[in-house]
Amino acid sequence: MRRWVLGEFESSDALVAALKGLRARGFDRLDAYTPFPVEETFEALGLKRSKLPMLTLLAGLGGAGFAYLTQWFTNAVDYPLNVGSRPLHSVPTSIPISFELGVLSAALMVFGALMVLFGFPHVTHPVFEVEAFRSASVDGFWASVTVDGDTPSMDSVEEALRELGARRVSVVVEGAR
Amino acid sequence: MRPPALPRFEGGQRLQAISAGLGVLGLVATALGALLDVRRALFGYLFGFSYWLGLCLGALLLLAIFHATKARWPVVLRRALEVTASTAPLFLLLFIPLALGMRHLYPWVAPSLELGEEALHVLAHRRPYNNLPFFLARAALYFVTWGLVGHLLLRWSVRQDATGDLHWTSWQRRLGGGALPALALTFSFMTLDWMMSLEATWQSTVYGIYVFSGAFVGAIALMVVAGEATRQTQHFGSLLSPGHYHRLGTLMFAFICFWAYIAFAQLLLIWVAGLPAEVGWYRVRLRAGWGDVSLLLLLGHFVLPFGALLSRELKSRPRYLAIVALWMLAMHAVDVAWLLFPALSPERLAVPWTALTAWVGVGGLAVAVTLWRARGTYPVPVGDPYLVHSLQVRPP
Repeated sequence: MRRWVLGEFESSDALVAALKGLRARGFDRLDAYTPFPVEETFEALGLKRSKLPMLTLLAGLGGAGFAYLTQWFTNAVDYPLNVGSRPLHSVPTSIPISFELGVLSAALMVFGALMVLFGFPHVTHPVFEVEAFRSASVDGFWASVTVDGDTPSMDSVEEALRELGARRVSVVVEGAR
Repeated sequence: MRPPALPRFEGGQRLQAISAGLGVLGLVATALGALLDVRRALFGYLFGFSYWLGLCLGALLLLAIFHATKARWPVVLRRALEVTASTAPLFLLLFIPLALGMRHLYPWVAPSLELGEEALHVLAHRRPYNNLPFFLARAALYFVTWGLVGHLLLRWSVRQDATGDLHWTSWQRRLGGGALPALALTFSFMTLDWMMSLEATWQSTVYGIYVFSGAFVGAIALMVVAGEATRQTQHFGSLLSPGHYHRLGTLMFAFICFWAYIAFAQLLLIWVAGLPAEVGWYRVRLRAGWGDVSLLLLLGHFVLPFGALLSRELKSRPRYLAIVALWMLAMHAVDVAWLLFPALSPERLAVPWTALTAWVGVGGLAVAVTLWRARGTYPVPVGDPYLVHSLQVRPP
């Protein structure tokens, strides 16, 4: 059973300090919710680099290579057609299609991979069940720690959040109403 | 956060003296080359002239675009751009040898019968545009436009240093944005007049944008190199953060792609049409010799920097980005040489030695004049309302 321990902080600075404190205490499955973008949280969360750029590069190169091979195969091997003695396999004229398919594949990969990495469809999240969490879109700065089963223990997380200055601590349980 | 207290720029005397000395030496050597072979020396000189003028105008266009888009992050870079862009009057002086030696450079000035009936007919048809008085009048118009815009943008920015009056910002923005069409047209026609008309009859409507895209990459690269070179000093380089380098790297990346796109578009259209009037230009540049240079450009001006600049880490690291920028400045020289010298030596790959002396000569003077214009001003526009914003730029 997955649970989230949420702590509300008074300011973005307190949130950033708390996130750093949580990481220093060894909690690593963190998330942050703020009423407006706070650049420092990205750093404080210690997020890993996204896999998306590499996937996109591979899809782009794959699409471009596939388009080039297809043009070469149809024009020069499968159905050679002499048009005014032009070369059957011509590099410059193959590039636009290769480029287009490269861009299309990369764009589709961004869309598709984002959906998979997001866990789409995922239209809501249990944290929204907490009434106090509404302040995350007004004036509250929230940190959350994910707890799977018994690790890390609930008590230790709640204690850590209080020590770090959370003015309110709530627990959300997956699937509970 | 207050802007850091920076002294006015007073150093650089030694560098200025060295570059001015090298500049004079280079120009004297080029002049000696002209005694041996006027045509080859003038081609070499045109190369040096086009290269450095391109960087000056690239900086001017970049500056005007920043004003037109009301960009806030590059305020730290702006003074360096302003002094670089205000060197256009130097090139008016340096244009004199070209104006005097036109008949050795441009086949339309005194068409020889060797060109053939067809080419002579085309040149006669272009006479109303390509004739000496109109050519010189156009050159005068170009220099007035560049000189005026560059001078005013620098002067207004310097005045704002003293008073911090906001109306200077809106004046600069109006001039920067408003002058863009004039700058684009003068740049484009300049390339047609001074570079493309080396070829007797060949023409390409995308030529001006091609030259612009290369020069623009060069100007961005120049800012990266200047920033990294002044990192340990009290000049603008000390204020640049990884965020500025990341943005400059991204801009450079975009315009390297733009350069490749324009270069390829021109090649593709001429390749597909296969018209005798157009293919000659590429036949010369795709044969052995110049063909190797074309391959070097494809790999060195596009494939390599494209791969390198894809990396976000590299763009945020000043040292690495400066290496790529230096490489692009070298590739830009190859690009300009590739545009000009096949008109001098179509049969085989040959570059006159005066290309090097003229490059050093014009470049030395350009650097010296840039330092001279920078002296006494602040390294950054200290009166600009967005300076603090610019100082806080971080990488995404």
